[in-house]
Amino acid sequence: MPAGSADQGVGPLTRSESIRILATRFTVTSNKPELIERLAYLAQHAEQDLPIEEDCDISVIWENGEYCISGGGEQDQYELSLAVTFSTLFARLHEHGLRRFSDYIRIHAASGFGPDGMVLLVGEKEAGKTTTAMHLLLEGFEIVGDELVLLRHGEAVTFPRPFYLRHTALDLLPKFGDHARVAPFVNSEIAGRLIATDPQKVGRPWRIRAAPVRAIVFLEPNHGGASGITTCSKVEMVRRVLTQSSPPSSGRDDWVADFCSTINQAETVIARMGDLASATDLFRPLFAVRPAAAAGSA
Amino acid sequence: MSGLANAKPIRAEGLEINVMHDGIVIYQRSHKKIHYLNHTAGLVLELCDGKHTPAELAASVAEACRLPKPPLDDVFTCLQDLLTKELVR
Repeated sequence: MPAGSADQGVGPLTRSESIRILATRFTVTSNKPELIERLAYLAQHAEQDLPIEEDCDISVIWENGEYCISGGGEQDQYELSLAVTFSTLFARLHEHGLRRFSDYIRIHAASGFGPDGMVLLVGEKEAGKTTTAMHLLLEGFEIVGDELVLLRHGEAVTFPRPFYLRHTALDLLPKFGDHARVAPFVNSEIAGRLIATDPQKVGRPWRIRAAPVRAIVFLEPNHGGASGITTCSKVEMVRRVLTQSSPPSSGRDDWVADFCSTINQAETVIARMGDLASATDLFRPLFAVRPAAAAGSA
Repeated sequence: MSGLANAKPIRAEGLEINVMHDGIVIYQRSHKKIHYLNHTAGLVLELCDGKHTPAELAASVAEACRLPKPPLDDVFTCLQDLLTKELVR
């Protein structure tokens, strides 16, 4: 790519942004400052304890009326609009970051840390995973994700991404307060405005690391009612959590045994989620409460 | 039931049997299917080695579970279910 080549009307590659996704450190470079600004605006900045195994350079070049995304050992992709280019780039970064975790089971779950391991909050679509996770985060629990957990050999690691909270859930989270007005957001055709939240911006630690799974909570909505927790049988939890999981893309054939063993060793409960205030005490035994970090600190 | 009476069912090959605290999860790799059984059904499946009739299986279940008499009807029902799921043949 002849960067800065005047006869093609391409500006110099003046902007770049570094993004860490699990074991991969990406450097994204572009001659389109708006793209890098949007990336810096929406990308997560979680601390991540996993060792870096790969450095990957991605470039996004605006040239001759189209964007070319290249690098990372993949075929170049071409897009016409900045918005679509950004979405394509984001998907490419995530897919590339996940490639090193092809042996892992993917579980659609929010996640946090208890005294001796990770707590997963699993539930069907619109069960309230993100709202519950945000509530617990604001109550001082160590919550590190609202979307995806990777599991292998009984150990889980949260996929790092901001929490995407529906704008309509803000009324349920008064402690979120003014942060909602200044937080980045995206507009989803299905879910409406989604507020991208970095736990560090609300004064909480955000440290991604691998840990054994100590508890699995399956969330069931009980809107308008009280919240309550009951023990769930292991077999029933396997049945429920499998509906929210994907096998390892590597085809590893012992994944069901791995999955069952993890659930067998974890505390397994069903949480009927009514009012959030009464849920706080129910979750307390499952999580360790840490003192709040200074706002904005890493 | 009559067709099963003299059969000597045998477990399907390639079953991954995961014993949980409160039941059994079976992964049938060839079909990419997962089945859930209680411990008693799991015991019947384990006993299906192709050498025993349902009556003999029921006697073994009675002994293992300390039952006063062999649960023959329950074993027939269980075997029918296992056959339907292709976990035994």
